[in-house]
Order: sequence, then structure tokens, then C-alpha cells
Amino acid sequence: MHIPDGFVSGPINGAAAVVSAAAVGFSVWRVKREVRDRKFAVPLLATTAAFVFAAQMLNFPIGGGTSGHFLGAATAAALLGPWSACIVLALVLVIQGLLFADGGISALGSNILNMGIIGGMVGYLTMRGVRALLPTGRGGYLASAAVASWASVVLASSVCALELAMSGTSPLGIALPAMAGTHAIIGIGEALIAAAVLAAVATARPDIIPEWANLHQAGTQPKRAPRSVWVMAAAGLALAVALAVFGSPFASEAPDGLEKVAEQKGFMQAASEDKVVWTKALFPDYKVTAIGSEKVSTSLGGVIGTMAAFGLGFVAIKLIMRPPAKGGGEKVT
Amino acid sequence: MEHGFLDKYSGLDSPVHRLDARVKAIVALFFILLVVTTPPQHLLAFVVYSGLLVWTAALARVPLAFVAGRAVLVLPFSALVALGLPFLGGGETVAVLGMSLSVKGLWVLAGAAMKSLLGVATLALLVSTTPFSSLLAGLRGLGAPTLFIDLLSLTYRYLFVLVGEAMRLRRAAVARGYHPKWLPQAIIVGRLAGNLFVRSYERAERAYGAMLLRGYCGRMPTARPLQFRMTDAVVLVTLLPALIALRILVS
Amino acid sequence: MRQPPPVPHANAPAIEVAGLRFRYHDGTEALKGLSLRVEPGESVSLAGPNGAGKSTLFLCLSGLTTGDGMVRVAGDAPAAGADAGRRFGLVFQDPDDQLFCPTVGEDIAFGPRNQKLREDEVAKRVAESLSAVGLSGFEARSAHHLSGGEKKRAAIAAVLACRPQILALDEPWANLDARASRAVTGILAKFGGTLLVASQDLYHAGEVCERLVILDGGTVVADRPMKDLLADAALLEAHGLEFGARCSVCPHNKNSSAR
Repeated sequence: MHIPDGFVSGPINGAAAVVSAAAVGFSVWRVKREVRDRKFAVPLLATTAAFVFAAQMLNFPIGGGTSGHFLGAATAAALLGPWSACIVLALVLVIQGLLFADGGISALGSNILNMGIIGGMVGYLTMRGVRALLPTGRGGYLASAAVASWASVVLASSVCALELAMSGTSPLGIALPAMAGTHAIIGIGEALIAAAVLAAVATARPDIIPEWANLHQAGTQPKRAPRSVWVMAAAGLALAVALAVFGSPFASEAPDGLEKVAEQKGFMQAASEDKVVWTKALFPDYKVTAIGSEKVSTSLGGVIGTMAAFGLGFVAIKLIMRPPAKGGGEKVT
Repeated sequence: MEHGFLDKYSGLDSPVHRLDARVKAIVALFFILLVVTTPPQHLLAFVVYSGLLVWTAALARVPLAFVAGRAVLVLPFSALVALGLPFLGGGETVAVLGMSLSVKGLWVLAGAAMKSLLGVATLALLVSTTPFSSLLAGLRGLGAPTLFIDLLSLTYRYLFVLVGEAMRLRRAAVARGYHPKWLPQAIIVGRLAGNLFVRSYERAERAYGAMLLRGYCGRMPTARPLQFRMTDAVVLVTLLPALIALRILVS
Repeated sequence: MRQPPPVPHANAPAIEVAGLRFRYHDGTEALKGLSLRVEPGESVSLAGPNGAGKSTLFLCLSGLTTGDGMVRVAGDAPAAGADAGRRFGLVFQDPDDQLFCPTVGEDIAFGPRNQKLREDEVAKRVAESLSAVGLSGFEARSAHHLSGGEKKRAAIAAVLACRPQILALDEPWANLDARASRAVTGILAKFGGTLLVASQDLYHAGEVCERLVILDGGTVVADRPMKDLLADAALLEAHGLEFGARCSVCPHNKNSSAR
């Protein structure tokens, strides 16, 4: 999934670089602020990055004589939290690009976005979401980690395919099934490895994963409310994004109810151009005009719209639900 | 792990080696950006770019075979992604060896291949003429966040240790009959990786202790800041505009 | 505001431990009331079977962990801080744990730089330390390119660069070939401060240390001059140690003609 130089267009690499830089910078800030023993975080993040690098060299067969390898973003997020995982993957990708010809430097932003941010964050959110749906206990924990790992790999590779398509390197109709398809299988390996890693770590050093110790008492149910809100938000967002990516290109071009009636009754012309107040729509007709492919631009328009709606909704709810006094609320790590 | 190749030539002496790490990093990045923004149809440009790299390698006394060898590593990915394009690209076609290939697809394939090769070759030259710790110091000097540079430095150091441990674990598993043939056996990789993570965590704990005992207080101490010399300034001021002029000329 | 370095108490013992107890998270009691006193300038070997508590004792002396009981290093409680290296230098068993910089020179400079020395003073310390361990000119080398013996010497140099009053080494001769072992012995013999060596290798320890303290089951079971204890084979064997040349070739091989 490491994109070399010359495969993804300049604007996309540039945009991804900006987003990645911001995300990694934010992660560094979060880690500095929240990690209990911040000084220990330095050697720990470094050795974990070295671990991910080494673990990525362990191949496993996926059938047909080919082999896949581990990504580790979701596993790192389960072990150290999503912000640390983002930093860890960024470190791995910088070193791989700089020293091992694995991923181009001009595409570093895209690679970090796909594998570190999307891979890590999606992995983390999915794991939390799935965990709330499963019974508490070790089995539920490991199963959620497995599902999250699979999802992170599939989504990361899908976004990679999207970037390739948007750059005109490979048509979406080929890139997406190829990338998502192969990674749906590689993802199974990732899922198995993630579960095995977490189980092994929890057995040898249960103090590394603090929540592991709490899982032993299957009977203790934590307060449902905060978690379920988070879960529903994550699940809803994932569903919306999936629909946007995969569904919107196939959305009907036929006029919707209002337009149809307007045509029939002949008052379509009344909504003429000079009466429209806001002419400069950002994404006219839900399309991102810079991109050639009709289907892809619709997908992207859908994704951007969904994320924007989610973002606005999230901010709105946060403002409305702000606790009356300081010292409350669930810590998001 | 075959780590000799990374540092093999960085200890040599040549005009390129003596340049400030910051200058080399800036020029390398600039060059790569120039390459990736050149349309593949400007074949002359790519010939000139390659020539520049060959000339730099000669100046730096780095064997061309080494640089080319590193560059070639990137081709398998190109093949995977773009090889099908000439067959599927659509639009105008051209007859090659009895097959009808899409012109657009051929250009995309050629462009991707050339750019990725040049990108990797440039980095190989950069790394072969600059010891890694100097490169990191250079990046720090250019404004990269100190914490991230410290992390890169430690990660680099422990990379070799952990890869060595991973290979030993794998050999031990193979010696006990681990010859995976189907996907569910990935679980064994998981157990190896789990073992490896615990080792990496405990390594971090011990290294942390060692760091504390030698006075570590949160940041890795740095040496004297790099000195910018006249040569460095001259190289920077002449090379960057020259590259831009080159790009315009060959377009 | 940086604290001034601790002033060594004039007549304080280098190491003073009384009734030290330490229990790990999983419940194992590593130290069960250990008492020990070492005067400045002594060279003491700590020997004992695996699990006797040697490494744990060193961790408590360094300040990285804390047990129950009295521990004084150069008259003060142990503290792992910016000036830690000046009082107590600890060389771990695995040199890869102590060489964490991209080059050997940076590793050795790490301690002096943290002590806020000027760069020219740092360079002098680096050169001196490398020379003391026989690795002059190794500043630009990377740790992963060194042999086992060279790594061990580089790790010792890195600790020596902090100019510790007390130098403690955990199994310094482990995994070294004869030549490298001799080099390490030479380095330790030249060290001027208090020397504490935890080692099961009594052959090499005997060349450097004048006093032997035997640890077993988390306490001190014997503490006498090296020469006396080495002669007591029964005591050594009782605590998992061995010393003495056994010149028998293949005694258990029934085909050996050397019997």
C-alpha cells in the first residue's frame, strides 16, 4: 500500500501532506499532554515503531502463492491509543520512505494519511464501536480488535485506490476492486495477527494493556450512556461514509420529487440564474469539478458532504451538551 | 539484517559529502518535486534528470550500480498498479509487438515508472552522502519538530535490534516446522509478533532506565548547531534557480 | 532551576544498605532484608545463582526502583536525575539497552551533555572515555555495526563519560569471547573509584575484585575477602557457583581416549 513517487497527482499529495502534517502535529501535542509518563513515551514510541517495522517484514500466505503482510495501525492503536499509533506509523513510513525505497517522499503525506491516520483512527473507532456491541470480556475485546484491524486495512487500501483513481493513474473500476479486494483477504491475516498479538501481550505483560485486567470481571458493566453515544456516532459515520463512497456514484440522476413536479408544472424556469443568491456553490450538483471521473467525483462529494455534516453536528451537540461545570466528561484517548 | 547497505558510502569524502546536510535535504526534496510535477511526455526532461543524478553520483564517488540497484526495487509496485493500463487505458491505440496498446495508458505507466525510479535514486544518493544522524540534525535545523526528530533517531537505532529479533524468532519457528501454506496460519505470525512487541516494550523500559541514569530529562541533547559555510550558500543559491530554469527549458 | 550536584559526604561509605526488601508486581520477593556496606575505593564482586537478587539490588542502588529499607549511595538516597550519572554508574547486561543514539560518539556524549558541559569539554570526555576502553576513533561508528565485545566496551565508555564515583556492572563478561573479556578486565582494573561487579564468572571477577559477597535467596550469605571464599569450594557449590580449574577432558564421554 506504500505509494511511490509519480503515482498520485501533485494536488492530492499536497493536500494529503497538509492533512497528515496537521494530524501528526496534533498527535504529538496530545501525547505530550495526556500520557502519564511523557518521558517514557519517547523510547516507547520509538521501539514500537521499530516493532511495527519489523512485524511488517513477517509475511503470511494469502493463497495462490502470494503473501501479504501486517500493517499494524489498528494494533498499535489498541496498544497505545490512536494518537500514539498515528505517530508510530508516521515514524515507520518516514523511515521506510527515506531509507528503504518503500513509499515515495512526495507521496509521504498520502501514505501517512492512508495507513497512519485512516488506518489507525478507523481501527481505533471501529474497535470501540464493536466492543460495545459484544459482550464484555476477553473474547469480545479480541474479536473487536480483529474486526477493527480488518476494517482498517480495507478502508486504508480503498482510500489508496481512490487517490490513484483521482490522479488518473488507474481507473477506479479497476483500482478499487483490486485494492479493496486483495486487502479484504490480507485483512483477515491482519485480524488474526492483531488478536494473537493482543492475546500474547496480555498474557505476558497484562500491565501494558490496563483495560485487559478489567475485562476479567465479565460481570462489571460500566455506565452505558457515554459509550453507546460514541458507538452510535462511530457506527453511523462509518455507514454514512460507506454509503457515500460506494453508493452515491450509483445514485439516480433522475430528477427528484420536487424537480419532477417543477418540470411538469412548468415553473422550473422561475428558478432562473439571476434570482439565485448564492451562485458559487462549492460542490455544484454534488460533484467535485476538479476531478474528471464522474463517479469518483460524486463519491468524493458525498464523502466530503457527509464528513462536513457530521463535523457540524458533532460541534453543535458538543456545544449544546457542554457540562455545566469543569471536571466531567469522558476522556477520549 | 543486511543493514550494511544503508550506511555504506556515507562515510566517504567528496564535495557532495562535505555539503551541509540541510542543503542536501532541500536540494533533494526540490529535485524530487520537480521530477514528479513534470509530465511524462517531456521525455527529454527525464533524460536530463537522470543525467544530473549520474553526474552527482560520480561527484560523490558513490557507485552508480548501487544507486541503480536501490532504484530498481521500486519497480514491482509500478508493475502491479500500472502495468495493466496500456491494455485497458482506452482512447487512441498504438500497435506494439502485435498488441494494441492504449497511448494514454503507456504514458501513465512510463511517467509513474520514471518518477518513482528517479525519486528513489535521489534519496539513495542523499542517504549515501549524509550520515543518518547528520541528516536528522539537518532536518531539525530546517524546522522539523525536535520530538519527532528524537523519535526518528531512536527508532533508527532500534530498528536493527528489533528486525534481528524478529528474524531470530522466525528462524526458531521455521526450525520447529513452521512452513505456512494457508491463511489461518497467520495466527502464528501473530504469536511471533506478540512476543516481539513484549520484547520491544521491555527494551523500551530498559533503555529508558539507561537514559535516566545518564541524565535524560525529556529531550535528547544536541551537539553544536550546524555551521553554514560559503560553499553551502553558493550551492543552494545557484542550484535551485538552475533547476527551475532547467525545468522550463525542457518543457 | 538546576540543582547543584550532590556534595559527597566526606566519610560516608560508598554503599550502605540495611534491611532492603523488594517485591515485584507479581509477588516474587527478590530481596529479603539485604544488608551491605562498601567503603569508597573498594572493588567488590557480588555473586550468586540466578534469581539471587543481584540485578534487583543494582536497580535499587541506581534509584530506578525503590524497595523498603535503608539505601544510601555516597551518603544520599539514590536518585535517577540529571546528575545521577556522577554518583552511580550502572552498566547493564545487554549493551543494546545503553547504546541508543545513532552513533557511538553521540551515545558517549549523552551523559556529559545532560550534565550541561561545554561542547569542547564534552569532546574531551568522549575522547578520554573511548581511549579508556580501547575504542579510540569510533565516534562516527554506528552501534549496530559493532561486535559484541566492542558494544560492551562502548556501553562502559558511555557510563564512564559521566565520571561516576561508583561503577556497577551487571554480568560484564557475559557473551564475550576471551579477547573481549580480557579487554573488559583491563578496563575495570584501571577504574579508580568504587567498583561493584555482579557476576557468576568468578574467574574474571577474581582478577579484579578483592572482596566477594555471595547472595542467595535475596540476602547476603557470605562476605569475605575474595581469596578466602574462592578456596571454599563447598560453600560456592552450595550457592550455585563454581571456581577452580578442572582439567579433565570429556569426563562424561565414554568414547574419549583421554580418560
